[in-house]
Amino acid sequence: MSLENKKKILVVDDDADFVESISLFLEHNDFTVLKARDGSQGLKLARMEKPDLILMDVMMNERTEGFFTVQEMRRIPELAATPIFILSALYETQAGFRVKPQSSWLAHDEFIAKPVDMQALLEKIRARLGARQAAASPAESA
Amino acid sequence: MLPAADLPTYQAVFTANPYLPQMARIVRVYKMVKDNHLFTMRFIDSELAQTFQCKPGQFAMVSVPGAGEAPISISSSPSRRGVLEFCVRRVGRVTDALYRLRTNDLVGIRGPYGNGFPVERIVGQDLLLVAGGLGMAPLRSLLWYALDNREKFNKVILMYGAKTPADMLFREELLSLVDRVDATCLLTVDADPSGAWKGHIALLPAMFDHVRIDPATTHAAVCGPPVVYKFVLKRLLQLGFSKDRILMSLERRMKCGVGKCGHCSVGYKYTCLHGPIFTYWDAINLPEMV
Amino acid sequence: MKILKLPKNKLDFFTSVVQQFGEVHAPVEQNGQFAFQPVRRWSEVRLDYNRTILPPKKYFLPPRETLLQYAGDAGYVPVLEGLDKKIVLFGVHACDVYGLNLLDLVFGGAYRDPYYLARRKNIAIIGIECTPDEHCFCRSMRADFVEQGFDLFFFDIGDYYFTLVGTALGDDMVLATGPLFEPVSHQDVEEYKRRSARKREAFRLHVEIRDLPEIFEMEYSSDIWQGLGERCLSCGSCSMVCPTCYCYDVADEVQLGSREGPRTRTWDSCLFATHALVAGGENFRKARPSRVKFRFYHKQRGFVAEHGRPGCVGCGRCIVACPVKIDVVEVLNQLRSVQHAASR
Repeated sequence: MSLENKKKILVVDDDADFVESISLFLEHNDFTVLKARDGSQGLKLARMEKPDLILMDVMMNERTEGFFTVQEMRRIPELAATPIFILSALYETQAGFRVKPQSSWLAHDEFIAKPVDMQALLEKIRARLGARQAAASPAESA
Repeated sequence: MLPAADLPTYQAVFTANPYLPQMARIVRVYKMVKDNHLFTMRFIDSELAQTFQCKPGQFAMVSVPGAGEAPISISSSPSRRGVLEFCVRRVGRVTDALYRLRTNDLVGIRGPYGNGFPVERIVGQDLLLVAGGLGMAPLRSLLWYALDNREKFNKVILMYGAKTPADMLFREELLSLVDRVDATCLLTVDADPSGAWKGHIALLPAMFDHVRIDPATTHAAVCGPPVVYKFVLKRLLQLGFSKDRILMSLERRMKCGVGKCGHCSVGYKYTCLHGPIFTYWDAINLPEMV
Repeated sequence: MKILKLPKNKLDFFTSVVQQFGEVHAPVEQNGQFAFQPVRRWSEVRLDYNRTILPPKKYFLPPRETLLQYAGDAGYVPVLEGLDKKIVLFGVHACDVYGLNLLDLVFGGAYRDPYYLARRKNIAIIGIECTPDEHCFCRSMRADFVEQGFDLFFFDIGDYYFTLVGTALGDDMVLATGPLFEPVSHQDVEEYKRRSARKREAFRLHVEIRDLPEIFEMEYSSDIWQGLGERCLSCGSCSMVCPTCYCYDVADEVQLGSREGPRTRTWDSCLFATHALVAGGENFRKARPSRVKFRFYHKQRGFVAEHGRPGCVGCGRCIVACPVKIDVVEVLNQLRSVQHAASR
């Protein structure tokens, strides 16, 4: 694939090891990966780079940082339609806090529990971006 | 004092958004008196034009797109459907803009607003209308309401005084009433430079000498500049009128017409909701009424 | 009424999940004062605030809004953009909830204001209990506790927030959070009552409102208004920060070279010199003392005549905002004492 067609994915997570491993995985699968360590950095980078998709962790400096960062992103017109996948270990660490996996709350697109099944994540990313690409240029093949 | 329950109910068209004007076309502009032109308007929507109802003494908010909105008394009688007549004094930005319009131009109208004259309370008795100068504009709707529904009232008396015949609003129309047997129409001017005036030449209060009025069975509607109020009220009280039988029409700055923008407040009432028709009893009880 | 409790340490989760009901706005600190803003991160939220600079009315009656658009001969078209935006106002004090309930009386009624009411429908209110400071007199104005006008109301009872569920929407919020909320025990109720009684004792400012309207009538011509009129700057700050001041101005704006434009409404104040000015030049409240008098008169007496209770909620914002330190409580108490002095 040519450089211009590479999709940009922004990963926002304070866990350096996780970021490293998912970046390698995504780059290997022909995505350009941008990295941010927390919500503010993620917001700044998202505004500047206009990624095609955002992977957002929830618990960073604060336990709910990801959720509020998503709220802030959705207030920015250019980011209002960017697909956001929330990746979180909340299910495991906070007893009693459950978010229905397929629920459509929080103006995001997917809630994915950590530890992440990389292959499944890749399918979802491709499905989401592929669908958009198909919608944008139906004549071209992926 | 009129209870809030007397608020007008003919709001069918405007309930969805009370701030949205309905468009109307100017049918006629009659340059009645210098800086006091009579505009006749008809709603574009023909069903609205036929079904629009109001009470005498109510007003409408008239919009000239780009210039704004102004409250103007409805001078036509509610019994005459189809068109609305507004006697507009040229006095500010909106009325200035209105004066630049021609027949067939469009304006916005919303209303009717205000309490109007308390028709249910004054029928079956005598009605006295006392107008000075431009005060005839709001009283005209009541005059024609009474004449068009003549059987509802006992005696109907109009006293109207202007500075000169050229300053008299609705002059030709009122002159034609002088000969009616079912109403007493006393028209007077302070002076007659033209020499052609056939009516009285005297100050307005002098008209009281030409009629017999029973204060116990009469309601008096008064409208005019402060000097008229001063002398006419004095006379009415001398005659023995009870303060709640004297009705006045007030004007205030208005931006909404529906009791929300706050500007038309007088004491603890809103001119657009509890007025513009107040009794003299209201006047002396509400501070700032003068 | 449904009553539950929420562990305090789960409050951040609660507000995250509640985002599905709307964009969450809460009090944050701004240069030493507080203001309702969209929440960017939970740590910014200051639920211990005493008062915000502007009350929540800014969400329902914005300082400036476009009502209609006019286009030449096409007439006027309502502008309804943004009215359906869902917001959750988190951390509203009882006095401000009460203030909104009063504004409902003005913007509802015989002529329903669709702009205000649409926002009321789409903005949820989660209230929170507070402690009075030296400028709070909501208890005197009966605004220290509200029984309606909120979707949820939180009361601090130590490790938990004692929660009153006010509406079906509040109930949906509780259900959406799953097992975060717990049922209350008898001890919890006792703790609520204990703290409630302690709060009653904590008020330092008191105003007697019982016969205040009549006293206003009696003291209509008092000298006190002249003195206040001389101090007042007619800046209108008191009106801007007041939860129940609603006067507005309406104007058609013209765009150069075009026959189209907006009809906008903007906040106004009876303190401004033009408030009672009519075309032709007559000004019914030309002198500043008459305008200062009018504001107090309308808030504490006029509103009573129209709606049965004073328009003031006792939040103290006007006291804090006034650049010349005109204090409504002092004025009201002075009106009473002048009356007593005259009768001796």
